[in-house]
Amino acid sequence: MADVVAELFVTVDGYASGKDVDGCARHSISPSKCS
Amino acid sequence: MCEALDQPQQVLMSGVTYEAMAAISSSATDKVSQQMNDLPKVVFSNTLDEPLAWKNTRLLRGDLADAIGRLKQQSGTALRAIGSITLVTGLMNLGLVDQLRLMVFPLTLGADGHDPAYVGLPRVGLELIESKILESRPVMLNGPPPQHANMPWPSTRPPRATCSLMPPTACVVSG
Repeated sequence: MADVVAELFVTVDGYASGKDVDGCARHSISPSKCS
Repeated sequence: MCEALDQPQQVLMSGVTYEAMAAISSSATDKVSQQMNDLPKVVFSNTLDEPLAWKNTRLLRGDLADAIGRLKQQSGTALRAIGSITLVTGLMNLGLVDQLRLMVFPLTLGADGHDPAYVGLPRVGLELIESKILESRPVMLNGPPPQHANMPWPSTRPPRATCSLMPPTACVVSG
């Protein structure tokens, strides 16, 4: 049975990061897109 | 992050995350995007339809427990859910998560925050197994799985937790 690894991108105060941080969450995915 | 993408895996994501990531990576030429393009990807969505444009991507729909439970049984490689908080919350509540990896950015949103990441998660205890600074910015803390307080996890071993964060903040994963 395969393991499920759940990877969440969060700020220190517990908010989802992504669009909220101007692409810096995306930095983990696509460095060229981090503003 | 490139190291993580080098490992055999299927990427698991929600429809929302799929649309965001496909827009970034499907036509990009950087190494990480190329790796993402080449990896097998599974999208769980009851609103998207086949065919999905991002290559190596297939759609799962229907009941989350059935779909992902079956995928866990059939997959020969780890399933890596990226982002997709609603999906991960559902998986956590179903006891289908074996490892929780938190990428904590050294940032507080305060009053600007509008998407609390932990709302809806079950009550769990986490054991730290690893911490790591990523690309000189994020730090990754990696630990054994959350111990579900209210329901048993399906496997005999508890899920593990990983936390990644960027300095100078500190991340605590408590058990």
